[in-house]
Amino acid sequence: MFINQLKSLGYARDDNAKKYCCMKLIINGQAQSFQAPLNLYDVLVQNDYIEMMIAVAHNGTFVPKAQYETTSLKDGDLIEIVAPMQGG
Amino acid sequence: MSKTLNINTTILQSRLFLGTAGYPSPDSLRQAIEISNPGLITVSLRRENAAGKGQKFWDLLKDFKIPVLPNTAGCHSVQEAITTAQMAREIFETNWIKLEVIGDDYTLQPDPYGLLDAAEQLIKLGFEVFPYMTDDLVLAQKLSDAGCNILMPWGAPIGSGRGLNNPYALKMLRDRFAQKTLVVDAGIGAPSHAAAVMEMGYDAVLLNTAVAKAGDPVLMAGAFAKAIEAGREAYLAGIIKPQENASASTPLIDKPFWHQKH
Repeated sequence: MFINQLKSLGYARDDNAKKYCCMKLIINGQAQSFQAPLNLYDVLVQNDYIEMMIAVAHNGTFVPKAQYETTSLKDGDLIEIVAPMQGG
Repeated sequence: MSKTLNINTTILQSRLFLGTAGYPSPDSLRQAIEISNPGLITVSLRRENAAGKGQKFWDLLKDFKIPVLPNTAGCHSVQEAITTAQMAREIFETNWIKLEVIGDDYTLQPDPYGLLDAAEQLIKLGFEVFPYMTDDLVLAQKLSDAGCNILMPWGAPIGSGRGLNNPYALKMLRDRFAQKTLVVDAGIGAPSHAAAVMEMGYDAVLLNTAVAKAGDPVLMAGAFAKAIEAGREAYLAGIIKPQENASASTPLIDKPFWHQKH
């Protein structure tokens, strides 16, 4: 992915990528811009989530880990990334 | 026999189900778990950030090797609850889910219609559903018909500490669902409330705030563990039925001065 090349060159993840982007995702309630095309796996890698103990929903629907790479994203998609937390 | 509880093929080591939220510190949570040795601990899912706070929380819990019961706390719709349950199953590697579908924000009363709908769908997806429900008898029957092996009626609204708002309804559920695993979930304030639940023959008590917000959570966790064990043993021992008249406990036969004539 082009944005991965940017990252490998040491550019900051988001701010420097904005000028190349054409797709906005809402990740955990926050808007973030990306270069399209993009799949869910790419987003998780670029945001440093991929090694974490997480689960993901895409537009309100659960996405199993095995489907991250085959889940294509489009402008305006909602992504929820969750992790274990205290609960009663 | 008294302490343990079987859920499917899992043997829970105690009948205290302990929540993990709202403690003054991670260390107080850890100590509360250590002293009370709960049969299971409840957890939730929340948005993760780059700092990995979820992993840190999980690192605290995983070494206890106590079964976890993830919840769908805060979900107001069936779809939210189902998606949350699916995410929880993947993260915690368990098909157990404490199903909450909230219908009223003031009382956090479960939405019975949404709860039943979500329970039916989750059971079809292979979940063992622990429904957080009101004490409504008909709802209990419908959840049971849907395939719920465990029912968790509330004692009182979550976090209220009021104890048992409707002991009659809770007793009725116990009587009518004699073979079902029944757990009172929410509203417990004092260890005596938990003991009362167990004396009714309930299988377990799920609580959180009563311990987490106590003056000394660790001491309170131990108190609840003892109360739940005492209540269970009392139930198994057979509690006498109340009666209107007095009945002398000390034998009168051979009492000195008995029938003494003046």
